[in-house]
Amino acid sequence: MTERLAMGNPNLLMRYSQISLETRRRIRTIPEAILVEILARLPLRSIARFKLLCKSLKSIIESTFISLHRNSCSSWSLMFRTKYDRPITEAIGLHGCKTWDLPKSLASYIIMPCHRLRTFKYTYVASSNGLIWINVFVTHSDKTCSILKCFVGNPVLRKWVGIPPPDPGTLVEPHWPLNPFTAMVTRVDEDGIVSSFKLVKVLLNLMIVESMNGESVYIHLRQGCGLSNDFSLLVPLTTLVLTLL
Amino acid sequence: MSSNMIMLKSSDGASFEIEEAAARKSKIIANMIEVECVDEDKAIPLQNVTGNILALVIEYCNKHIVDDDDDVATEEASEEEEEAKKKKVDDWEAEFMNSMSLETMFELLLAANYLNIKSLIDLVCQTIANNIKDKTPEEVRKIFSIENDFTPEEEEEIRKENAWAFG
Repeated sequence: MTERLAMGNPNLLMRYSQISLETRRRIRTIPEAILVEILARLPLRSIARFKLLCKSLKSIIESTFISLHRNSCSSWSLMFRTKYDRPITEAIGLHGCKTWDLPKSLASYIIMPCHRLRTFKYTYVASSNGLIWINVFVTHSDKTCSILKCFVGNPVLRKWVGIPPPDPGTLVEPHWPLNPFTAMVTRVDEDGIVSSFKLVKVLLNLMIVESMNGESVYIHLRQGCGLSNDFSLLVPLTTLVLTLL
Repeated sequence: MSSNMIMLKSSDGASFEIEEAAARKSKIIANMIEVECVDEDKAIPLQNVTGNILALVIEYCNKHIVDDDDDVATEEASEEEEEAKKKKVDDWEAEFMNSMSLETMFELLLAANYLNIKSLIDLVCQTIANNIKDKTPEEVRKIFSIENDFTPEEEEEIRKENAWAFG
């Protein structure tokens, strides 16, 4: 498409009043597949806004839309935190203005759940298929102690799920949040929609697998296979959890 | 180049002569030619397309058949030439769509869909998308004659969930 096409025609809506009743009747006969073709060519921001059009279009957009989107293959971002208490920084954003149509960077739309918890001490743990696992340090009002809360969520849609602690009081994590033996895996259906996720942590000789509804599974690892400085464990660990899904 | 001519007849009775190669841009007409149900002396009746819209469809097909021939003739064309040619087509398409009212655009889309001309469907869909991308949902509902079937509470919920898109 040329730039001139991309600009659109500001007079178009004014011309709407001139559309004959006959054409309006015929517009209503446009097949859904063609409406989807039009929606699929919009920036993601417009698509999200147009969920408001009607129920049937909302369900189309929410069910199959991401895989249909004409430009979405080129939209991704690399984000990271520079310090525990700093907001997320976007290093590379290839979502592009045209695809997302965002006036600001994608990272600036990410709001962590912690703004309600009166703390900014959160750590990024892992991410998979658009979900992020973060840990938040919540300080009690009397500032005597901090507790760790675990959230998984979609930062763009601003939906977060609190993951209940595995078994209160039984485990103290030695090097949290620097424990390298963590992973998150997601199960994705054919349309690219995340249907479930599992979080994995390895503590000493125990592997804990937590599912999205808060259930935990404890797996005892073979002696010498637990928490060590052996980073090579991480890859087989993720593979193992994939089979657990 | 084959100079076989085909006659098309619009719903309001206007007849158009078009080169077979151009008419083949339409999958429906191409299929009719394949199964030999096109009589050389008889026009193909297109009941869902009026004369003024069919004229636009034919203009589009003629333009693109010429381009396809150019591609064959200059197979060795350099990348720059290819680029320039593509720009020429893009410019022509932009001009073609720019002179059109919204009503014509929808009628052309329905015709392209009926005749199954993929590249024309793509072009019109992209143009309509460019034109509605900055509109509010209310404006788009009006354009497409879509009825709002959400309750105010449901609407509020969607706005909250997608706050980033409404900002």
